[in-house]
Amino acid sequence: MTVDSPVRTTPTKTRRSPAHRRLRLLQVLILAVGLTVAARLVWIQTAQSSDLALKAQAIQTDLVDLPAARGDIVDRNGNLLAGNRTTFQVSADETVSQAALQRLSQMSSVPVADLQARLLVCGQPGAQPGTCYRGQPGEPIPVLSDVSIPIALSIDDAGLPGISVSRAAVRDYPSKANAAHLLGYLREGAGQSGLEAQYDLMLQGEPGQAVRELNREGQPQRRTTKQPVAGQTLVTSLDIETQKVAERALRKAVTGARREGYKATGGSVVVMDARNGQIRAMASYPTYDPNIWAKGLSEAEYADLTDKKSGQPLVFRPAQSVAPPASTFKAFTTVAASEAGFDLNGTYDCPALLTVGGQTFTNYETRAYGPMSLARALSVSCDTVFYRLGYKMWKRDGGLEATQPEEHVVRTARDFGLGSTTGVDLPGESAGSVPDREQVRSEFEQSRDDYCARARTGYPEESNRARARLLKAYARDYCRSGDQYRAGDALNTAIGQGRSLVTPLQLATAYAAIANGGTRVTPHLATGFENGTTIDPAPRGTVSARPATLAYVRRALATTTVTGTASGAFLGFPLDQYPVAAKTGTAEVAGKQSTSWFASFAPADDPEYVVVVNVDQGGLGAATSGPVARAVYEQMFGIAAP
Amino acid sequence: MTTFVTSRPAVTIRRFDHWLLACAVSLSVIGVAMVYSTTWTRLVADGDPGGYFATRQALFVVLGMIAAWIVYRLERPALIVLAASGYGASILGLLAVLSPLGTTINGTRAWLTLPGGFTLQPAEFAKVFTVLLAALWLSDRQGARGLDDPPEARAVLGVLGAAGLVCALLLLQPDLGSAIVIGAAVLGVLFVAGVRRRLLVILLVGGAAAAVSAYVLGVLDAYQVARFTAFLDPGADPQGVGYNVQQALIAIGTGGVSGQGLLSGVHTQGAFVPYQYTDFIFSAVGEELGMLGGLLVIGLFVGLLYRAATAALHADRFGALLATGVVCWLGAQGFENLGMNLGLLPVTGVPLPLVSYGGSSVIAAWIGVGLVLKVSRR
Repeated sequence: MTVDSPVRTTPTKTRRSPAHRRLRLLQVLILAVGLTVAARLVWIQTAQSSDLALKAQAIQTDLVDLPAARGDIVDRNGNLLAGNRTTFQVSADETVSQAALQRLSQMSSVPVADLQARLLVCGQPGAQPGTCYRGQPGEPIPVLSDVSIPIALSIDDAGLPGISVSRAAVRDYPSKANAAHLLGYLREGAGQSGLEAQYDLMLQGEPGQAVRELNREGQPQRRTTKQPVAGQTLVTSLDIETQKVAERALRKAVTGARREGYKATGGSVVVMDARNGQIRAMASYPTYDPNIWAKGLSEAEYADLTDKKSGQPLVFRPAQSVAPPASTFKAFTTVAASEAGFDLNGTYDCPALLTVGGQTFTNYETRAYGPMSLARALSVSCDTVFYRLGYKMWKRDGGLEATQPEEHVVRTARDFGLGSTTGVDLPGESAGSVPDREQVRSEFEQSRDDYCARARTGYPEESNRARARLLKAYARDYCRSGDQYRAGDALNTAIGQGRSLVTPLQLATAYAAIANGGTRVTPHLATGFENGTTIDPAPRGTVSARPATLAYVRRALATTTVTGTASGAFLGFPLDQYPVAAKTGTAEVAGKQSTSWFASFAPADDPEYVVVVNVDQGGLGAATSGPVARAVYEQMFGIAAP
Repeated sequence: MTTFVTSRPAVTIRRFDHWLLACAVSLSVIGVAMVYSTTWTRLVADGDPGGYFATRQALFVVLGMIAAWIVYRLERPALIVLAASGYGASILGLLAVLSPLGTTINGTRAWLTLPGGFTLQPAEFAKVFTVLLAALWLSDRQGARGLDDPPEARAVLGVLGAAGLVCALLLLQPDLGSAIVIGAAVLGVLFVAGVRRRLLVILLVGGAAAAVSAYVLGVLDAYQVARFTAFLDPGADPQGVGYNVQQALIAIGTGGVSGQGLLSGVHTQGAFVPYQYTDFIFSAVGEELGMLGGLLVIGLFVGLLYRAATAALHADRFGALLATGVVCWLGAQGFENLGMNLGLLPVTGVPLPLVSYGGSSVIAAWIGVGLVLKVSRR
């Protein structure tokens, strides 16, 4: 090509020119890059598409639980014991400014630091377990709950950025009865104790679900995919009026005992239908306000609930505290004696004291009654009669060298359910224990080494030197012969002292078996759900005692309130109309004041209810616990208190 | 036969390459539609008219077409005046954005605010006028020099100086993407103009060395380094630059073959992809128009460039260089844009020519199209 020739020459020349080769190269480059880009597009939209679609879904959508309304808990007459209350709650999202929090603090009089503490998500640095947020991330975090309506409205009107006011359901225990331990409480929407925990699944209902579609600015749009199903209403056998009376009478008994110089550290009342085990009322003292959980507890408040000094209000004494049953046990010793062949219609001597193996066992207040029937011995609670029965049965078993002991007393007590859980529909029940010879031996095998070491070293850490000496003597004694089931053990067992430990609820079911003719009912609070489901747990069995023996014991106990140990407590009570069978007990625990027991059922001729009362370190059974049982009967039978 | 072809009357009747124009118009129409789809939801949510950005984009396209028609009509002397004044105005504009008159958007000081809610981005016009200037300078002033003749050394130096000045000003904003585009366009023109290979190699190596030293010496802003590291490892900073690329890939990946439809792409309508109506508009194309729509856009774009390169093949020296310049400019910018949308190239923040929202970008690209149409005229 010459200098003068125009570019637009013949195509043959064009193809040869280097400039045109360079332009062709440019075209090839365009096609190559275009193909690369196109191939990449196709690859992303085919091979990568499922991976990227998953990522897209994770970013664009979010599953949100829609809470289901929790079921109510009602008493036998439909009175509300636990329900839901609508409250106002103030929440903050992550865009909330310091200024908005300051303003919120002023309006609610809650310190800013507290508000900030609640904004921290659990697991973040600085988050406190008690206050941190446990919910779903991305949702507004509640910073104030149970806000009063005027404050909620003023916060809403202020329109603080990042702050929202919403309604929230809070568990509420509105009844005038306390029943805190029976109902239990919730944490994070789940039942933690009592009926709330026992029937959590049914009460909870089924949470619904919503898909939340997000965009980059975080403006969510909700689409409900599953409607929540509200929880079932739990119907209980409780009677709110009886519960109130039981609680009030127990509180009165405890404060009364304290006024008389007893420590009266706590107490229990069990009111049960003797025929089917339905609980009418159960009171535990000390107690707490069941509504405190809704607002959220501070560490100090929680410590107060569990502290020994405050009497451990969280412990549900009727089912979780154990004590020797004391004289209330004599009813079972009577049954055991009858099974062992002793004549129920015989005459038994009630001396002031009894000497066995060089050891003297005295009657309570060392009073002698002279010869009497076994029924009378029960009614006046003569210790020496039962000591002698226990000793005779122990001798018959072979005493210390027993090879095949019948152990009538222990066997009978266990047959009535003492020393084992009752199966009540509340979590955390204690079993207690009624040890037989075998158990005494195995316990000895386990603890011998400790006691033998103590027998040598003593108790130098014990500041009270007299007590240290006593403990050391006991340790020496136990180390030497702790495996022996001695006459003293048998005697103490016969009057409910010594090693036997029972819960008030156990005693109530055992007395129910006496009352109803031998059926070991399963105590329960729930009778069904609103949807028609009924709860009627099967009895745990039938006691082996003959019905005639049980009838004899019922008749004997019926006289306790008339001429026996409880006659004072039931003075003026219409016993001819509503005969009450009862047994008092005063348990002695080494180093402590006596525990007051009162086990009873009524009407004695056709028993409907069992009422068991105890007050720890509360003094005499009849004097302290008797009036509580009386108050309960008065309420249930509709008797005006004198 | 060959003589017959060159003297065929039909060739003179066909005034320009219709295919080229068709590609450009199609891309612009798709652009307006995508701007509408990517901005409608948020505008409506804010209570604004949903077609606000789309209407403006359509206006830009019309203005661009008018500008294209004007340059199409200009002859060489007028083009020389246009190139000189346009380049001069661009330099003034690039200086002005660095002055207090400039507006900073997303870390780059590249905009001049105009009355009526419009902004002007001088960098976009600098691209077209630098290319025009280079093509004029490297072709013979008398129009006698052939395409295969080596360019005058003084012309080469002049072009390098003019382009270097623009690039320097762009890097001050900093707008690395536009500087690379202008560099690529000028290199392409020099290559076709027949400068010695050694010079091209020196320029390429020099440019690369400058980039590396800028990185090592920390001259680059942190965001530019971040964009580059995010390209190497998109998961490194999922909330930052890597986020942008990730979201674009997710949007495209969920498009499938036929797409989710205009206004129906979940990711696009949820505005998960930042800058989805400007630099990342191709992600919306990928999601809402799917593989077919994406391939159509790529095909139209390749068609535009290919036809422009074909026009260069049949043009005189000036026309060939001019078309080459426009091809290299639009090609570098377009493929860089598609590449960053598809996770092939680091994010440098350049719009997709004719498609992305932006008045300066659309009008400048249409001026380029007008110039190429003029070259295609026989």
